[in-house]
Amino acid sequence: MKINVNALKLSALLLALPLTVNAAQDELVEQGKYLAKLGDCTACHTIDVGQANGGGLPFTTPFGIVYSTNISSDEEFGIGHYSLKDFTDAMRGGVAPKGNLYPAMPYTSYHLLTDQDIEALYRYFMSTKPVKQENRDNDLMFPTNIRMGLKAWNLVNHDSKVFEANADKSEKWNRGSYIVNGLGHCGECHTPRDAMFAMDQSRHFEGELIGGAMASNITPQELNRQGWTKQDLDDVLRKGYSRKGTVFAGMYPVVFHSFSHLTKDDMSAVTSYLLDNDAEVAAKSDIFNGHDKSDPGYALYTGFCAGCHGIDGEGKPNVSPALIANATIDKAAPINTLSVMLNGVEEQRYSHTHGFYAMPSYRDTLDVKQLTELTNYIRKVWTKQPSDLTESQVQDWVDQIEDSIADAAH
Amino acid sequence: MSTIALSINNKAIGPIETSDDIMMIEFLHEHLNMTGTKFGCGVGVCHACTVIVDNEDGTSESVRTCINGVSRFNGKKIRTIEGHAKENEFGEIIKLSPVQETFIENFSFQCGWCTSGFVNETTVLVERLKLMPIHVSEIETVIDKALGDHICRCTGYVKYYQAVKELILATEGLTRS
Amino acid sequence: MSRFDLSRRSFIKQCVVGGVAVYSAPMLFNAGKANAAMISDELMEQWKGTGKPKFRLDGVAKVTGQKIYGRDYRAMDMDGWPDTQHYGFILRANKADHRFEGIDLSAIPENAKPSQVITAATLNDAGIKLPVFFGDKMLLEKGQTPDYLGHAVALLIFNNFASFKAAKTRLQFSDSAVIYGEKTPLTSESKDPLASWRIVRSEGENGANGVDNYSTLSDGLFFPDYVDHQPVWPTEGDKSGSTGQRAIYYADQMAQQMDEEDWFIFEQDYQTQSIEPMMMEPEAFNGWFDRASGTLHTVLTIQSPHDFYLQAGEMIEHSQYKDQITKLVVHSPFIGGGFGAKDHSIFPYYGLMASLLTDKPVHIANDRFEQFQSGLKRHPFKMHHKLAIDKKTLKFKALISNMQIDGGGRLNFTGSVTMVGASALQGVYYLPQNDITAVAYSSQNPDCGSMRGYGTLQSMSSMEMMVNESAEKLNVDPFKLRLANIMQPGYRNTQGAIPNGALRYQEILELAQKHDIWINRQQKKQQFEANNPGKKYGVGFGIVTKDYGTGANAPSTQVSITKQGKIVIRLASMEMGTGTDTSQGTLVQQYLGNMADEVFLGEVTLWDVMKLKETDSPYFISQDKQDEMEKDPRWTPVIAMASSASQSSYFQSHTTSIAAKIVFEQGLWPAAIEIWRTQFFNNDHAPADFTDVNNAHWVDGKLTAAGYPPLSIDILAHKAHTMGLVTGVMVHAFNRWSWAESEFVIEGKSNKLAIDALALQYGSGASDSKQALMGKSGYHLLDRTRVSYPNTSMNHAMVTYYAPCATLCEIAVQEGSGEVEVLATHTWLECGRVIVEKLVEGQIEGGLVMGLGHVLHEYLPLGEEGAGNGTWNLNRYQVPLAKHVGVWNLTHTILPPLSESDPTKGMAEVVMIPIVPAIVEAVYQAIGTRFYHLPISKKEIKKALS
Repeated sequence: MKINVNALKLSALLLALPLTVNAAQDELVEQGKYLAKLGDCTACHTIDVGQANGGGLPFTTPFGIVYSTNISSDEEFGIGHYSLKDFTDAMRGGVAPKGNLYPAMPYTSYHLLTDQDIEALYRYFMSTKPVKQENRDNDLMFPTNIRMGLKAWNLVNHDSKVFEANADKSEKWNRGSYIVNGLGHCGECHTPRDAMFAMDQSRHFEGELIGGAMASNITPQELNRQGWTKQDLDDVLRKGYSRKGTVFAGMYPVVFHSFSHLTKDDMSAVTSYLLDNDAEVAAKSDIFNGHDKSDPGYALYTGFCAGCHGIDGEGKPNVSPALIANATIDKAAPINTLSVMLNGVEEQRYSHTHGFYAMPSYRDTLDVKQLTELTNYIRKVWTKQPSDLTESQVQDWVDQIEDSIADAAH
Repeated sequence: MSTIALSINNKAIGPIETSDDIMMIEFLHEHLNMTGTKFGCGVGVCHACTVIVDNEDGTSESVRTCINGVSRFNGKKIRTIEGHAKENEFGEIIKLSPVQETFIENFSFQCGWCTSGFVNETTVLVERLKLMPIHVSEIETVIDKALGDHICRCTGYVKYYQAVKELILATEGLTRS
Repeated sequence: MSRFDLSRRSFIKQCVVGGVAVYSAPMLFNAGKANAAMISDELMEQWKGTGKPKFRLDGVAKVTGQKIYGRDYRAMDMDGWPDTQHYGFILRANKADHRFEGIDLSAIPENAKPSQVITAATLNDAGIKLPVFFGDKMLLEKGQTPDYLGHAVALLIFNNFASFKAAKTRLQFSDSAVIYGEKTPLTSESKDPLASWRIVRSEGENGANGVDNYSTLSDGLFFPDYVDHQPVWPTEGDKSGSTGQRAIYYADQMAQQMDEEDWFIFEQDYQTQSIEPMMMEPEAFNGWFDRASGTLHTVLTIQSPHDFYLQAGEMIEHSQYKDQITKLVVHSPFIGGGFGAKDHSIFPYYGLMASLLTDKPVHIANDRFEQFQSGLKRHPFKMHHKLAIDKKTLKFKALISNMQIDGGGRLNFTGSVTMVGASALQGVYYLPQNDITAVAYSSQNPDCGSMRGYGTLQSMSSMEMMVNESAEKLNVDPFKLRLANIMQPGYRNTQGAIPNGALRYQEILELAQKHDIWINRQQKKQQFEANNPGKKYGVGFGIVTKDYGTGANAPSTQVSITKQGKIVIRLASMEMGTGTDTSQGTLVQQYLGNMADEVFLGEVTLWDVMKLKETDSPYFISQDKQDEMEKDPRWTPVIAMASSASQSSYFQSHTTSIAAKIVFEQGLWPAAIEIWRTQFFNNDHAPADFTDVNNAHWVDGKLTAAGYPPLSIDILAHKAHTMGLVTGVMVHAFNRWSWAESEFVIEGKSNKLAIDALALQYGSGASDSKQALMGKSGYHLLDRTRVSYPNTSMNHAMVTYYAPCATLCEIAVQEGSGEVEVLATHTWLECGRVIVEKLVEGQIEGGLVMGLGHVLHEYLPLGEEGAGNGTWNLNRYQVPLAKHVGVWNLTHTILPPLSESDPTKGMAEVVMIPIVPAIVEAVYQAIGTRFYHLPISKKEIKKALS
């Protein structure tokens, strides 16, 4: 594993000249910088109009608004005054020098990090540009506004154990698991939460409706059923765009800030873990069952969708995803199919060479009957999912989607 | 094949047989020979191809014709750039709409390719403001939002935006102070 | 144009090109049958406003969606064409490193198969090939490697739109439609450079405007040998040797001085990207070969129709259809934006090819993916500059520069773009010595051609970046450094030529220096950053001067006045948005007291009346040949010009003004005198004492002189017609950085005029002898009695007409996202006399925004990921939106002319340039990092900030 190699290097270098010690320190900082990307610290701790790591992003939680904090090296406003131990406690136990952190900070995942990685992150953050930016007061309702309450929450809900490798699995799989469950903190969205708003590990990665879209079921069973290959996952996580469809909603910033920076080895580890398979996985044959022109969904499809997604669902390269082989529509519950129809997809600009224009929202254009017909039609033509959804079922899902927008939480 | 009937600029069109994969702009161009609606990008980004769809509830919306299939418009009432000005009995244009007028008098466009999209979008905006006036201080923000997606390559947008601002301020009932 | 003139439906014969009679048609307008709305005279009349145009002449047509663009026309719109239409789809290779082995059309549904598949073999059989200008391999043969990504391999013809659409959907992005064989090297690797220029100058002992030791103007050009596809320049300098050896002598001397003197040396690499012009109307073509009558009809979307006439003739002449075609009819309607990329575009020749090979009318129209894939691009430049500055005087002492230009896979205007880019590097500054080398190479990228800026955007911006950074390194105010080095009138440019006119750089610099944005920049930065945590504030400035014209400009205008007093102008220019029709229609007001009633554009064949002929390239003709040829009164260096290179306001205006002036002096003025003399003067008792034309004044559209009653134009026109005076004037002029001058005898009096051909029309009351002079053509063609063309050595000057422009900008950089927010900009432009202020403003605003795209947003990667792969569109290629440009705070100052005799300068290109270095500097002032390649991306800014 990479970490061990680096640790080894570090101990060897400690014996060398001071100059080299600096080099080792630099290397640790570099390592920490990469890990900070894996952890997607930026997405929450940097706002567009703020300085890097200055905090200030609001999180709407069921209990009120929580703002991310300044994690730059500034001693007054940031975490410059933290010792390595302070930092470790914050990352593992959600306990900062000033008190408990709200679990919007995913220490519930970060606790898995090794000491070496935590130190690397610490060294990196201590090297960042100090940002003179005061933290905003949170706006929470009683009793959650008493940080003391979090102690109790942690006691019941939080386990601060460091990652332990699964001896039955390969080193690669374990590295993937470490990234995905630890710094990647994927479970924070993709694992359903229990009554205490803690991740329900018994339903690990089975998906959760957040902010109007479903953080998909990303269990190996589901991903394999949908026919993802390792390359597909690599594409979608690195570029936001793949044979199996594109990312949208909350996953866009994750790709933009975090996964697009993964090394080849780490990405390979991640995809091995997600598919629970170290070997390459063969693509399943594409599904196109042919059009049914007598279906009322056909005219809806040609009227609203075919312009971008293609008359046969072939999509347009670098513009709009194909429906053929698209994982978003191939789910038992069509929540994300409905979600993109209702909410559209916001414009995504990854770089000068890579960007997707917005998909329009049809919230005010399509009624439930039409949504039902269109969803059934899409499932009928491009998936093996049943296409007999009823209007009342669709109405339920629509209500769930709309509700989840109202109380969006991290 | 699909059979399409709709109202364009208050004229009943169709029923006409078309292929199912035909986009609305292709229908306008190739079936109706109405080429005032312009093709810019074909993927919904530039908004040059925008037309107006008049809903039954009295509201109107702007819709891009390059990414929407003709079946979306079946049975609908739409307005295109050809329908804004008044004509005399010889079919000659005698009077422009207020939006068209403000654009020509401000020299808003140059090559003119994006103009029909701007005219339609601005018309929808002005009609909306008639129903829901805005505070005069919001005017620039409202224009930014309404026209912000439209691409113009010649003008730098200034003379379009100024023209719309001028029109909104000069039209009674669109703003309150 | 602007109005459709039913009386001009008949085609007018122009000339014979390659054995084919070429015809042009009046501009199409409202010919559409389905949508036959016309514009009422009452509405159009209003364009004249009161003294300045109320709206563009083409404004009503454009704002009401009339059929006025080439892309709008279908067969059913065209008189005499069949009603049904074929559709063509060009299949292109998206790789350039594999052999092309054929096409596979099996993906097309059975009911949508093409009616015809045209391949290289078809073309060979038919003898169809590209005009020489565009090179070879019109369609790629099996077994060949494409020259570039996007190389056309086949043209598919479909009987109707439905099958075209169904087939295109299946083929356009298919991996299997084009079959590739083995991997091969890129063909560009075995090609010599496309162009090489070296501009050396060494100032003589009398300084900036004395005789040079060496310059391209005084010594001529020299060129390298090519060894292993690389240029090898002369190495041995010799003061009294050949042109090349002399150049090297002075270049070496300068390089040595740079090493030895105690000068401040600034050395830096700069790089610019590949840019898509992104005119809003993608290119289109409609054509029909009417075999029964031997007529080939075409409808185009290009900026240079005259060039199309010539080259189409060349193409037909080589083909097997040569004897079947007796007429080529060319319709050139309005252009939906060009920006240079529709000048000498290869696109219409594929349309011509399709028309030749099919029976029905055929429409080929690029979608945006295809336009990205196959349209002309802006040349990417890689530059290395070394600038020497005297530390005490702050004077620039020397400049050495090496530029590499990527011309793409098919040679277009790369040679001249490279030359213009190199010659523009100096910007507004004087350089006592320079050695500028620019070499263009071919590549697998789409072909690059003329695009707004024409190389100067790339080079001049880098000069300004150097100046901004040098000022900082020298710890001097950047304005002080600029003021110490600006060109003064009479100074020589890097080619040794003296730019024309007053150079008002100092005036602009002094205005900018006093502008609020500049004066308050430090205070505002503190304030802004305190009030906007997370944002960094910066101010930047740039000043440039851009040449306009081509060094071989040949405008033609006809101005005539009807008996009812309607002014009608006919021009060779096209209208692509810049407002040529409006400006020319306004311009005649100076002489005719009224704006034009009708302006017809895109006239090509009309000028046949002047029976002009050209022989050699105007750039390469020898002085002896020119001296010999000019004796023939029908000879001219160039017959026509494209609508490009910021040409209309200066060059087209020149002929329009002269034609209008002659109409006035020979027509309306004598008519007025006659009216005044006979009706308001004791004519029988004394000679008229008010006949001096200097007394003439137009007041509110009426002519008065010396207190005589104002006469309206209809009365004057009627009189001029009745008297048989001059009522129509057609002129042709030639400019090689100076106008050709000739003498013509009009009504028995010799006139010295800055034109080289003249034809007159006399009013209906003309005497029989005058009628005879006009003959069948309806024009009296005059022979010039003397002509003086600018010497051919002026070609070495490269450019001498300049319009300067400067921009000051204030920006905020969002630290979190790296996004640059344009808060406000102010631009200063000196363009001489303004014809229509609103049009100039529109260019300033639009140019600035295109510049913002170049510096911050627009980018095409090179190679397989680039535009040539056919998957590029606006979702990836970000052109600036209103939110990117500070739309509510975009202001300008147009400098007043020195006098009413100032030229009306070309300015459509220069206005996009100074914002580029200004933004680069502002970003630096905001975040402390300098960028040397464009565009500056958010990611890079973010990286620089962390």
